[in-house]
Formats: sequence, structure tokens, C-alpha cells
Amino acid sequence: MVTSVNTAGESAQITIQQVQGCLVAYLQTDLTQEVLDLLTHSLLGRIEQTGARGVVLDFTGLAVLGLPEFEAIRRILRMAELLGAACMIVGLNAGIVAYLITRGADTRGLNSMFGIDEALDWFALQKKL
Amino acid sequence: MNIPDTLKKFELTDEVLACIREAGKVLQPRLDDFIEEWYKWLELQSEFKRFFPDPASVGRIKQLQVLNWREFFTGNITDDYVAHRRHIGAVHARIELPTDVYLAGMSKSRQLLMAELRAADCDPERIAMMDEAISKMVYFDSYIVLDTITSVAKEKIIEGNKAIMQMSTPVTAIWEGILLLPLVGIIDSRRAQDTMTRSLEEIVKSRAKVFVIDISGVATVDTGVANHLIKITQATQLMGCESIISGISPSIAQTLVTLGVDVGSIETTATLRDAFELALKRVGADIRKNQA
Repeated sequence: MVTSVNTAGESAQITIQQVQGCLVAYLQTDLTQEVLDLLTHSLLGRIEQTGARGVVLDFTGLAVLGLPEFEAIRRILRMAELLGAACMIVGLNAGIVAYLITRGADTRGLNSMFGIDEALDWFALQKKL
Repeated sequence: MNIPDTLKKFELTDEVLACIREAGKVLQPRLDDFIEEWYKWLELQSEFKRFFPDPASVGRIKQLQVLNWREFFTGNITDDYVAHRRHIGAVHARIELPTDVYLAGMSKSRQLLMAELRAADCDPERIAMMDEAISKMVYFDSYIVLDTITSVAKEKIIEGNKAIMQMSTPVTAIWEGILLLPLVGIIDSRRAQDTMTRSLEEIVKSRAKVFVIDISGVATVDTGVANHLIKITQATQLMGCESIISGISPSIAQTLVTLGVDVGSIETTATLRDAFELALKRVGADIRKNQA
């Protein structure tokens, strides 16, 4: 069963869906501090509510991602992991990846996949759900 | 090219251009003689036979040169005028005419034109002014031609570099979901950056799950090279594609440990065969020997 929750602030909006027992957050807007705060609050709240054991952050709709925003995302993922959810990021484009790596982004311990389908398959395989 | 700015730089004022037109009135009827004299000089040059192998081409080029000088003496520098000079530059670049021949030819042209002016029995004061005007125009024409030759040469170098880069980053799909990058030669930061970009593009295109980098052909592996390789593997992993570095020789292993390079969680193998086997497992391929 898929449930959809749309969390809207005054100018920020993040869509978090529950797919196959996994929380999928779609990041389609510029990651301002407001959006990041909203993501932290909504995602951690949803993990607590649903007891989801898997989180997927989908970057497909994102054209630009700076190093500070990437580090903020890493912090959010660490928080999610503390709540017992395995995390996966998907859909980063080649330009963003090349930029982040060149700027020395710390990618240790991050799980990445191409798309949501692959991520959900991976979660199923790992029997994390 | 901004024509008014360039004309200003070469001091080709309206007065100077009027002087060119004045010289043109005297020289236009003598252009055929001037061209003949100029070819007498050119025939003495060692490059002549190489660039003018047959009389037919000489005749054709002579006609074009007459047209070129007629346009020169109109003193009317328009976009078309510049375009015609750029065309000459492009042709010279294509046939790889040495620039010394071109510049010597322009110098000789100026000298011969002056001789024709003197022979026309003009006022010496006007001749001096026309000489100055012609010199400025000759420099202006030469600049456009040489600038074009340089641009064409630069384009050739850029194209050559691109071709070399394509050859130096031969990312190939060797199995469904497995890409192989055999690295050969020297890896500097520029090549590492290009390799990363091209590898990521190929990963996106093929949606590969495993990326094998074979470094058995890399000349030297030091801290710098190791860091470049680590960055490439980090980037591929961030795209969701696992990396394996193969071709780690005992000496490379020794160097990496001695230098204190931490390869982290990157999988490494001694041979490409081992890496391929590992990659097949990762994509879930089951290879068995045919018992029959």
C-alpha cells in the first residue's frame, strides 16, 4: 500500500511517500535552510510514526547541489540511521557527483543507487523491511 | 572582430583609406604586371613547387590574387572584406603554408607596389603618404590572415586533444551492467578529472552496476594517482555503481601501504580476471563451464 503525505511550509515543500514500507522523499526544490529544516522535521517524524526501516532520498529533480547542502543531507541521514532506518540516496546526476567529489565531499558509508526501483529492490534483498 | 576598433588600432583612418583609393587609381591598371613580378619572386622560393604543383593552379590563384588586390584598393573595409581575408587564412592553414612564406610574400608585395607607384611618376610627397597607407593596410590584412591561421591551428589542437582524451578513456561495456576502463600511461589531475566526467557519463548512459578500473598499464602509482583513483571510485559509488580496481601489482600494493594511502572500502584485485569474476558475481551472472 502506498500512502502519500505532502508537507508544505510557507515557501518550502517536500513530498514524502511511503512505498513498500519504505519512506521515499523527493527533493525537487532548491535545498535552502528552510527546506532542509523541513526535511529533517518531516522525515524523522515520519520514521517515528511509521516505524519505517528504509529511507530513500530521491535527487532526480535536483539540478544543483552544493557541498554545504550535501553535508546537511548527510547529517539528516545519520539522524535517520539513529532511528533505525537504513538510508539510500538515488538519482544524483553526473554533474553534481563530479562537483561534490572534486570539492572533497565525504561519501563514506553512503548507500547510493540509480533510481527508486533499484533502491527498493535493494531494501527487499537486504531484508531490511 | 570589431571592425571599427581594429581599424583604429591599425590607424586606418578615413584619410588613410582615401590614400589607399588614390593609390588604387594609379595601381589598378598595373596589377597584372605587379602579380607577374610577384610570381617571379615566388618561383625562386623553395616552397613554390610544393604549393603550386601545376600551371593550371598557378593561373587560377593569380586571378584570385588580382581580385584580392582590387578589393584592397577599394579602401572599403566591410564584413565581406574581412571574411575574404579570413577565407585566405583558412586556405593557408589547410594547405599548411608556412607563415614565413606568407609574411615574406606580403612584404614583397608592398615593395613591388611601391616600385609600381614610383614608375607611375607620381608626386614624391603623395608616394610617401601612399606608402604609409599601403603598409598599414598590408599589416591589417596580414593580421586577419595570421589570426585565422592561428585560430584554425588552435581548433586542430583542441580536436586532437579531444581525440586523445577519447582514446585515453576507453570506457567499454564488457557485460550487461559491467563497465571496464583500462587506464594506460600517466594520470595527472586533468586526465583524472576528464576520466571521472566521462566515466560518470557512461555509467548514467548504461546504468552499469559495476565499474572496473584496470590500472595494470598505469606507469606510476603514487599518492597523487591513488587519490585520483579513489575520487573516481567515490564518484561512481555516489551514482550507485560499485567500483573495483584491478591490476594492483605487488609493487603498487607496497607503494600504497608505504605511502599510507587508505583505499577505504574500495575493492581491489591483482588481475583483471579476478575483477571480472567479482563483477559477474555482483551483477548476479552465473558462469559455468560447459560440461559437454
